[in-house]
Amino acid sequence: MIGLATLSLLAACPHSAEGLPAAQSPTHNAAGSESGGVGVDTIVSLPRQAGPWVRPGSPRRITEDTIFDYMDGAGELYLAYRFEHLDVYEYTAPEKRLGTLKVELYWMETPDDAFGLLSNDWGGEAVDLRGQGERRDWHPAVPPHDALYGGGLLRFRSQRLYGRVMASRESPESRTQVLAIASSIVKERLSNGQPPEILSKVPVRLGERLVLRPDRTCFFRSHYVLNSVYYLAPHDVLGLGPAVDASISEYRPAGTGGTPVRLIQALYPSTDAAAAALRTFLKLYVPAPSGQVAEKPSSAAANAEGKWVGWAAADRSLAIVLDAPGERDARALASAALAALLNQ
Amino acid sequence: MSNDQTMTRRDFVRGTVGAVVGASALGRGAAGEASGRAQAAARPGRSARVVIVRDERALDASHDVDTAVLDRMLADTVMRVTGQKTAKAAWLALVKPTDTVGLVPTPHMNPTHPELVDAVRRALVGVGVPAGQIREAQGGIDLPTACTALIAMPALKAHWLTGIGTVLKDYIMYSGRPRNYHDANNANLGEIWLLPGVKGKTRLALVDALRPLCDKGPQPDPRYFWDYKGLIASTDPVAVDAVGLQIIMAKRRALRGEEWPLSPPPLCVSVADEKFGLGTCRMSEITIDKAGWAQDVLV
Repeated sequence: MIGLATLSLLAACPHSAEGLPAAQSPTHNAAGSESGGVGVDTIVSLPRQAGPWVRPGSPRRITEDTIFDYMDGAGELYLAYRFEHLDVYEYTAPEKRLGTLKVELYWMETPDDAFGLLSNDWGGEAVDLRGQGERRDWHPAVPPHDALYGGGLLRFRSQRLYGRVMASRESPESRTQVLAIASSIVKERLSNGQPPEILSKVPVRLGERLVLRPDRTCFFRSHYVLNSVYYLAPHDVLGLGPAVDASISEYRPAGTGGTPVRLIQALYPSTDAAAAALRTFLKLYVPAPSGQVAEKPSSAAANAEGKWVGWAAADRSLAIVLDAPGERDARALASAALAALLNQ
Repeated sequence: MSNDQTMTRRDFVRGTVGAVVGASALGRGAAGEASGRAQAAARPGRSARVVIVRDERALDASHDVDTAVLDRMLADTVMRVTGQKTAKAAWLALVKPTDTVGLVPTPHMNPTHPELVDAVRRALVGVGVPAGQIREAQGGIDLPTACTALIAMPALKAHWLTGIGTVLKDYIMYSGRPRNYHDANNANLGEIWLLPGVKGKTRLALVDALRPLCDKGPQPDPRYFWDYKGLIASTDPVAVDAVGLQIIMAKRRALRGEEWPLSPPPLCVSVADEKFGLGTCRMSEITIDKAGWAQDVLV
C-alpha cells in the first residue's frame, strides 16, 4: 500500500483550494439504512495547481442526458449504479510532453453506489489517501481499500463520490500529483463507512473445500455489471435494478487447480420481487426437460453440463451458486449464503 | 440455443455458439475446448486472409507515433492484403479515384491514432483520390450514405458491454440506436453492416493495434493498454475481429497468469459470420500473414 504520509502532499499543492458544491439527496438502500445526508457530503477541495498542471475554474458538468456523449457505452456503468452527475476537470501543463491530468468526480446517490464502482476491479496498488493505515474492522469478503493506483490512474471512493484521476502520461511527477489531487479531495470529507451491508453476508469459505477470493467480489445492481463480471444470460433474469443490492463472489477449490465457483447474493425490496427473480432465473437457466412442467423448490441444485447450479430463496433474499463441482457443494453454499442473508 | 436472444452461459458450455466466441467467453479449459471442437472445422470454399504488420519503432517510450514508420507499415499492410507489389497498386485495388471514401475511426474515449487516419488520407490522395472526396464518416447514417467506399479503422479494444469493440462495432452509430446493441444484443451488430447506406461499401478493415486495450473499454484504464505496435487488416471484417479476439485473450491470460474470459461474450463475431454472412470467424478458415516485429505477437 502506498502511504501518502511520505509524499509531502501539501508541499506539492501550495495553492489555495476551492470548495466545489455538489447536489445532494439522501436516499435509502434495499437494506433500509440511510446513506448520505444534506450538508454531509457536498464538498470537495481541488487544488488550483498541482505541480506544473493547472485546472480551469469550473468543471465540465456531465448529466444522465449527456453521459453517452462524453464516454459512449461506458456511461451504462455509471447509470447502473444510480448516477447523479459527473464533474470533469482537466489540468494542463505548459509543456505538452507532460500530458494532462484528468479528474472525474462521479457523484452517486449513496456510498454503496460509489463502492460498487470501485469493486468492479480490485487490481492495482492500494493507496491510503487519508494516512490512517489499514482498517481493522473490515469484513473479509472484500479488500479493505478505498483507493487503487495503476498505470497513471487512481480510482477512489469517498462517501458517495467515486473518483478517477488519470495522467495521460505517467511519470514520477504525474504520479505524485495524481495522488496529491486525490488526497486533497478526500481529506476534508468524512471517512468511508463499511461496505454495502450485503457484503457482510458473503461466506468466506465453505468448510475446507471452497475459499473466497476477496479481490473478485463485486457489488452491483444491474445485469450489465453482472454480465461484465460473469456472463449469465443475455437479459436481466434476476430482476435487478436500483432498489436491489446484489453481490457476486468467487471461490476457489482448496488446494491447486479447479474451476472457480461463483456465488450471487441478492436482497430485493420485497418478497414478491425475490420470488419472481427466482422463477425467472430457473425458467431460463434451469429449464425442465421438454414436455415436463417445472416444479422446483425454493432451495435445490441441478446439474448443468457437468457443473452444478444451486439456489436458495426466502423472504427478500436469493442466493445462487454457479459452476460448483458437485451437488453437495452447490446446495451447501447456497444454503449458507441464504442463512447469512436472513440473519439481518 | 433457441435463438441469439436467449444464449445463456450454458449455451456456451454446450458448444452451441461459435468456437472463437465460446473460447473467449469460457477460457481455454475443458468447457472452452468443448465449445471449440463443435465448430472449429473449416467449411468448403470459405477462407479469409488477415495481415498483421508490426514494427518495434512504431511507438517510442512515451507511446508517441513515429509517422515515418507508420507510413511504411501501412504500405506493407495494404500490399499484403491485396497481393499487389506496390502501395499505389494496392490502394487502387481497394478504391478508385472516383470514389468518395469514408474513413471510420473510433471516436473519443480511446481513439484511433490520428496519425493513422492522416496516413491513410495521405495515401489515398497519393493515388489520386481528391482530398475533398475523403471524409471522416464516423457518426450518423447520412455519412456512409454519402460515400461510395468505406474504410473501417477502429482501435483494437475489449469493451465492457460488447466483449470486443473493434471492427463490427465500428459502425454502431449508423444504427441511430447504439444502446440497442449493448450486452448480449451485441450479437446483432452485424446487421448494421447490411443497412442500405452501408452494405457492400467496406473495402478494408484496418485495425489500429498500435496500443490496444484488453479490458474495461471504452473508458481507458492504463493498466490494460499495451504497446503491440501493429496494424491488423483484411477485406473480411469478421476475420479481423476473430484475430483481434485471439490477441486480446492471449494478453489477458498473460496479464493474470490464468484464464480471464471476456465478459460479456463477443457474440457479434460468430453471429456476423453465421447469421449475417459478413465473413468468417473460424480460425481454421483464416490465414494469418505476419510481418515485422515478432515478439509477443500473441497469435
